[in-house]
Amino acid sequence: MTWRPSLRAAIVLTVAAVSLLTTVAMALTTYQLQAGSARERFAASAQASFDSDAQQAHQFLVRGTGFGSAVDGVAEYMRARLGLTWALVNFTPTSGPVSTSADGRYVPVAGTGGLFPGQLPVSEVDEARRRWGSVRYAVDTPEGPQLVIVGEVEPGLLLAEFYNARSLDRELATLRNRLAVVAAAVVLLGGALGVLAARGVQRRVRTAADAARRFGDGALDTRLPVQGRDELADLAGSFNAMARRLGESIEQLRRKDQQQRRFVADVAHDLRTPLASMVAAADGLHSPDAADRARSAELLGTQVRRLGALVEDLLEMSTFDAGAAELRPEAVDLEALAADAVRLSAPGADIPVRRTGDASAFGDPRRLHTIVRNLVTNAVRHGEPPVTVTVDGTAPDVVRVAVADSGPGLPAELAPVVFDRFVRGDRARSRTEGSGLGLAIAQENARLHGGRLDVHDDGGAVFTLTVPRGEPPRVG
Amino acid sequence: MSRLLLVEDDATLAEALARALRGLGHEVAVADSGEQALDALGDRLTSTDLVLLDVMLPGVDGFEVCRRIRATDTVPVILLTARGDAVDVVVGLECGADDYVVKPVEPRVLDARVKAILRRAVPAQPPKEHVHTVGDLELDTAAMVVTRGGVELNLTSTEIRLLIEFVEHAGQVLSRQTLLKRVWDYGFAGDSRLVDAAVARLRAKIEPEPANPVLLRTVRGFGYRLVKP
Repeated sequence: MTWRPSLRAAIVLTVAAVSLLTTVAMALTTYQLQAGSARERFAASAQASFDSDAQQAHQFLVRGTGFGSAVDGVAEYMRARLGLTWALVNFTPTSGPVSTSADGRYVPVAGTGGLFPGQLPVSEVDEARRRWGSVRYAVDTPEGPQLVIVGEVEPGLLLAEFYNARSLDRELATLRNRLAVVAAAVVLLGGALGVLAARGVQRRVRTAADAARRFGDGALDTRLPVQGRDELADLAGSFNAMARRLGESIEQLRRKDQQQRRFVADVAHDLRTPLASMVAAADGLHSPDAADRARSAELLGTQVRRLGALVEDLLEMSTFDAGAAELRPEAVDLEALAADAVRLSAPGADIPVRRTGDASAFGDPRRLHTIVRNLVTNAVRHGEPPVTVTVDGTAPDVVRVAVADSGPGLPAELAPVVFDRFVRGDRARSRTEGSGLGLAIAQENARLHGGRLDVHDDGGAVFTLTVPRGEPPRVG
Repeated sequence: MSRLLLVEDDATLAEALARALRGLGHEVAVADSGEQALDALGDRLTSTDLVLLDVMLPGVDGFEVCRRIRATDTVPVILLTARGDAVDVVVGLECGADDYVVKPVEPRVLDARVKAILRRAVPAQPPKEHVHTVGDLELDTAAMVVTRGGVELNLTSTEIRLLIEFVEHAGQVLSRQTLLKRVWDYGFAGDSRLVDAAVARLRAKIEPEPANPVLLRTVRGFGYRLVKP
């Protein structure tokens, strides 16, 4: 099983690791630079001191007399330099005793105590002699590392000075310790900052998680505060957008569900009312009174027809709801169709059908007939005469059929819902003979043609059907 | 022979139902809106024995009509509902209706309900004692009157019958079925919500604190019990 750290641990570890790495790198670089410059300073001061000694020793030889040889003279001068370790190597017989070499090292002809074998290697000393200058090299002694400078004082006479580097090492050790302390402090500080940063991030992530949980539990109005412009703010923004859209969808579903319930209740009511009349009227068929029997039969008849029409409309509506409505288009003369619909739905009324332009279109004649019939029936039932039907064929690609009445027009609160199911012109549900589905069915039929139904007031309610002229149906 | 007021906005149903009820020996007046019904009741307060009230009416709906009738009158009300969902029934009974029927209803069934309710208005048999005391109430079973401190309480016949039933069996638990049988005269076909609604209305009128009843107690899972006087 792989270890999965928490977000907080991951952030703290990352910050700590990064600060550790950078601090160590910084400390190492600093140490390198510091140590280099310290060594250089040490070497430079040693060199200056040596150069001065070589110069002084030479002057001492030139000015002074009374010593046996150059070696003695230099040795005498050097002895005055207290606290310094030095040695002389001589190759010129006129200057005094000549140094011998053994095991690749020269044996000094003069010098102070504190000398160790091997401090004057042949190669380095010869190098200094050849260069006519001085050579620096480091040797290790039991008393610590030494910086050795070898150079000629007189031709063939070389002076070697030993500078103990222990103080330099101590200085560098102190520097190392200080850097380590600083590095540790920085890493700790980094870790602490990491914890703080992690806490901040974690708090906001936790807020988001809580919000998501609350939202999941049904609090659809849960929103996250958007702070700043970072990724977490982006997350909050996305969450809010998602919550809003989800909330809208759920609200929409709820509304649909409510509509569905209302629809079922409306259907139940509208089926029961004629049934109730029929059940009540059925008893009258056995009445001894002939007039009573006749009236009961009449009542039964109207209610059976009413129920029949309602069931027809409901079935029609359910075909639309199931998406199973079929369009059978053919060439239709809408003027003739409208005239026929008027004759059928309002036989007694005087309703003129007017036409402008070309009234021909391709559409399903049965469905178009239903639309116009329902509009005319609606106008006759809820509007006031005179009712007029106008077929407008002046537009190139659509034909309009407008059914206008001269009544008070559509009540304002009814306009947005007039095409909904079971919406009736008056608040009484059972006042009118209609099923309450006529306009809803008309609208579904119009939509099936790719057209639409609109309503507006113009000296009465005007319902307008707009259908595209359509194309001849493809054969085969 | 009873005088019924039928409030129904569907003309056909009103006519068919009125015809059928007349055939069963009732005298039926028809109102096609709540306002008209309230006017009619105001005019002939004494001559209406029972109101048959459609719930879905234009303008003032059946529930509101029922509430307004109850504000001034104790005439029995039967609600006619075409929806028949639980909310309609509960709301209707809370408005003070004595009973409800769901459309379509057989005229014979409606007739039976009407007769059952009207029977309640007349005491079944004269009890031995006329006056009972329940808490600070006085119940006169001969006059069918309940008074508190000399002031008469406005109880419907169903409520008085229910109270008498409880008084006669004070201290006993009466189940909803028993009450339906004895007070409403219904068999198992009755809706026990009728009992709950009537008990709630009765409590509202006789309990000092209807939300915290001390006289008429609920016995969970069994029914109701009136405390012994």
